[in-house]
Amino acid sequence: MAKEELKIGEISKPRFEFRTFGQDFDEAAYIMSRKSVPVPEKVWERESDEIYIVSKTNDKNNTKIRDGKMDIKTFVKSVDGLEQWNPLMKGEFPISKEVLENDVFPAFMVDMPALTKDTYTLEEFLEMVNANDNLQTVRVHKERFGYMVNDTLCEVANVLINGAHVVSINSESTEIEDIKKTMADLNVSGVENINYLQAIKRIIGWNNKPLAN
Amino acid sequence: MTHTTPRYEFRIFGIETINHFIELLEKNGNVGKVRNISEIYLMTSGNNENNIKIRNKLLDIKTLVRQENGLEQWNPAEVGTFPLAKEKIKNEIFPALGVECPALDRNVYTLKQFMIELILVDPDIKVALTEKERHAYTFEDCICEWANVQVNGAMVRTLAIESENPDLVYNAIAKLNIGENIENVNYPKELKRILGLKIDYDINKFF
Repeated sequence: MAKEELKIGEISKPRFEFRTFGQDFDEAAYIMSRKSVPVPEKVWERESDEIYIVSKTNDKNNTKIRDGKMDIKTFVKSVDGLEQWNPLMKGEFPISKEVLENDVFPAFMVDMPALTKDTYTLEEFLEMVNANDNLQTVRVHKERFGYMVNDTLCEVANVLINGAHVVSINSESTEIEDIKKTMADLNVSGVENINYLQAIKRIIGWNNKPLAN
Repeated sequence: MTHTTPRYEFRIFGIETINHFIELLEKNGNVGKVRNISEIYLMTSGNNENNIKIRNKLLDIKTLVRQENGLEQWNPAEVGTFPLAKEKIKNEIFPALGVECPALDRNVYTLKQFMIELILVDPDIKVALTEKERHAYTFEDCICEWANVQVNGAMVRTLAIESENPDLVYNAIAKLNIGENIENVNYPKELKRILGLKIDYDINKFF
C-alpha cells in the first residue's frame, strides 16, 4: 500500500509519535533544521499558553486547554516504542454538565464531583479540578519551531512547565519507518520516548524518573 | 542542631527575565567560586515556613524568622547526617513538613530507607530533585549568587542577595536596578509553583 503523504495542517490517519524532553537537544535541532524541506510559514514559529490536566489515576488520556477549548487525546497503542494517540473529545467553555459527566471526568478516571450547575466556565471547571487530590492543573507555555524531515512532522520546542524550562523534540508520522529513520538521522535512536504527560508528571514530582538529559 | 546568624535575603527566579540583573552582577561584583550541588527538597502544600533539604546526606531545615519590608530572614539549622535516628525524624523532620509522621519501624534510617519508606510513599509530600550550578559573588558588601537550577529536570535561573544587614541588601537591590515591583521569591515558594503545590496564575491568557 502506498504511504500517505503527510501535509502540515491536514487531517491524516492516526499518527505515531516520538517525543522526548530534556535540556540539551542542540545537535538534533540543528540536524532537523538542515534536513527539513521547506515548511509553511505558519509553522515556522508558534507560541501558545496551555493548561494540561494530569491525573494520578491514569496515563491513558491527555487533556489540555488552549484558547478556551478543551482537547482530550487517548493513548491507542505503542509500536516499537512509538506512541499512537487519537482524539477522544473536543469541547469549548462554558462546558455543559453532560459533557463533564459523560466525557471529561470519565477520562480523568476519578470520582465524579457533584455537578450542581448546567454549564461551567473554565474558571469553575479548574476550581473543581484543583479541589480533587488526584488531579492537577499545570501551566504550559510552548514556543515551537516546525520542520518536516523524511516526510515526518518535526518540531523543536522550548517549553515552560509551571515556569521551568525544558526542551522537547518530536517526529510524527503515519509511517513508523520514517520516524525511525528520522530518529537515526537526529542521533536520538536510543533516547527514551517521553510524552507530554510523562514529562509533566516527572517535573511536578509525581514520578521520580529523570528526563532524557 | 547547630546555628549560624540569620541573614536577610532577597531572591528572584526567572528564565530570560532576570538575565539583565545577572549581567550587572557579573560586571560589577567580585567573582567567587562556581559550585555544582545536588540537593533534595521535601515539599508539602501546607508548609511555608520551613525550607527542608538534603545535601550530601545532611538534612537541614531553614526556618523563616521574619519577613520585613520585602526581605526575609531565615534561620538555618542542621538536623543531622543520615543515617538518622527515628526520634529526629519523628520530632524534627515531620513536624517541619507539617504532615503526620507514619509508624517508624526502624530505630535508624539511611537516606535511601528514609526516602523510599517514608517520603516517596506519602501522598502529601512531594520531592524536588535539584541540580544547582551556583556562581558566587560579593557585591556592595553582600553575599550574592546567581544559579542555574534544574528542578526535576526543568531549568530556572535565580539571583540572590544576602546580608546580616538589611540596609546593605536594599542598597544592592537598587544597584542591580531590581525594581520594587519584583517579588522576593524564596526556594520553597518557587519549588511549590513548579510542582503545582501553589496555583497562582492568571487564567485569562488561556481563553
